Amino acid sequence: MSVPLVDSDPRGMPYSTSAQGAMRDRVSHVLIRVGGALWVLGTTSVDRGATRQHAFITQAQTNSGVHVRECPAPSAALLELRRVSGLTWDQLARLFGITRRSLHFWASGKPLTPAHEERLHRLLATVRRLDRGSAHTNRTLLLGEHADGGIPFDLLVAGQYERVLALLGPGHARARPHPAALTADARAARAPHAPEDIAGSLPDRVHTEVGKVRVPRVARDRT
Amino acid sequence: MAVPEHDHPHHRVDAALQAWRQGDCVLGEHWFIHRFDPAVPLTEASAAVCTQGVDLAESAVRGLVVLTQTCDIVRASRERPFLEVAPLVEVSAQVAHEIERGRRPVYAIVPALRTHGLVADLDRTMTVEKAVVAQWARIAGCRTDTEARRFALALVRKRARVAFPDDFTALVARLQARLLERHDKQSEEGRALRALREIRVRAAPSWEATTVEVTFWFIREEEAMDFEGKRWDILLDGWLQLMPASGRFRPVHGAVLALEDLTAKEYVESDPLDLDHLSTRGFVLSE
Repeated sequence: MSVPLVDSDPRGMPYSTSAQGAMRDRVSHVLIRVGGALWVLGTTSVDRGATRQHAFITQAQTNSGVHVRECPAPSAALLELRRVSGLTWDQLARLFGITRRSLHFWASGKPLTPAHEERLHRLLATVRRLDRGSAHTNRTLLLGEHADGGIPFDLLVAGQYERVLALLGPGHARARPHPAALTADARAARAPHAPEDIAGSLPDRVHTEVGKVRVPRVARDRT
Repeated sequence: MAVPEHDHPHHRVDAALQAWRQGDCVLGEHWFIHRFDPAVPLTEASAAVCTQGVDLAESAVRGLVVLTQTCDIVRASRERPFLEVAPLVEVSAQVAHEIERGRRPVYAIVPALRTHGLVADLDRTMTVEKAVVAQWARIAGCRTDTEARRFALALVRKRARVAFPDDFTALVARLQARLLERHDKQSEEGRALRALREIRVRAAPSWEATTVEVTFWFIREEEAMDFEGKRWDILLDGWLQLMPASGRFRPVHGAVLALEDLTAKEYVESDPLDLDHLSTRGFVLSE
């Protein structure tokens, strides 16, 4: 009941290979298993795992025709899973059988156990493949009751990723636009003040006045 | 003989105001008027004239700055005859620096007058007719889009700060103290807080609810994957321990995320943690 860790193009075409002579734009939504585990930098220490936050699978193209997408760091994978699936923090926590607090700590960089990390990447691979391009649509699909009475979300909780994909089919979402970056000045103009300053605002009036005062000439209008 | 329509005085006013922008100002001897209660004069200005049978005082100021938005300044004066102005007041270089950092929302920096030590006093505003401003010698207050944007943001902040409930202010008092105290023993936690881009807080279902689920979004800079080699989740744990669930506020959640990790929904459903320093001083001192 696993999403295949190495896959081919859903349209039956191989991913970019040297035989085709050119790289294709699209990358596969797959993972590969390396040495039976998802770790490349071997360690059994969960804490030390944080030091290798960045990609543990980096190769992109092989002569075998498999184009492997770089695996994001766990926290990035979790946040992508949340963004694409549209599921709430609470719903995502239920997918992993953990508390929302634990999920927040994962998102903040706390290392996952190998088992949780593998589950995370399988879930991400699944939602990437069924992505309709809208978080709301994806969430509705995952939480809705299917014709056979099954609820895809419950199947995900049970680890039945292939079943979910079979029920919902591939998404063919259009890639999100990647607009050009703003200049540093433009970013700075939109940046909020530092937390230290706005969480400690000083409300007192501290200026100096000119000191001259006069009685104004006033006409009252009661119309 | 009838005055041709294009020679009418209000057209000259409209023409003169086409050059004016929000943040533009005038220097020299100008007068700011405000109403007061003669029985209880609260300022030096009102105290100086309250015995003269009046309830209005005019105070000399070093200049005035236009607060009205540019699109309203340039509209026809017959349809939109008023402009809103604030007095320019003198502050020390240290205070000007604090204003620039957003620490004193009572004031706004007028970039062109920064070297004069003059800033806008946003506590006082006065309505004038456009014909008055049309006679002033205009000084461009903001010279770039960035400066104009910062000035506009200062006006927004003065008017649109969230009024957090008192019991929430008590809940965050220790976090606020950690943020502001630069010489405490837990300096790493404090420095990490100060390195954040922004702190936002979300209350569900609402701030008025009997039980409020509170979620803090500690928004880091995108490139800051950790803080001086320390994982954010470890720092997060320390910050959340400063705000244990209590009273109406339970549970209290938090996460350290980059801006791109927060959904637009989460961003707009949360408020910046914008608090007065003095409003929590009692809590800080009694810690």
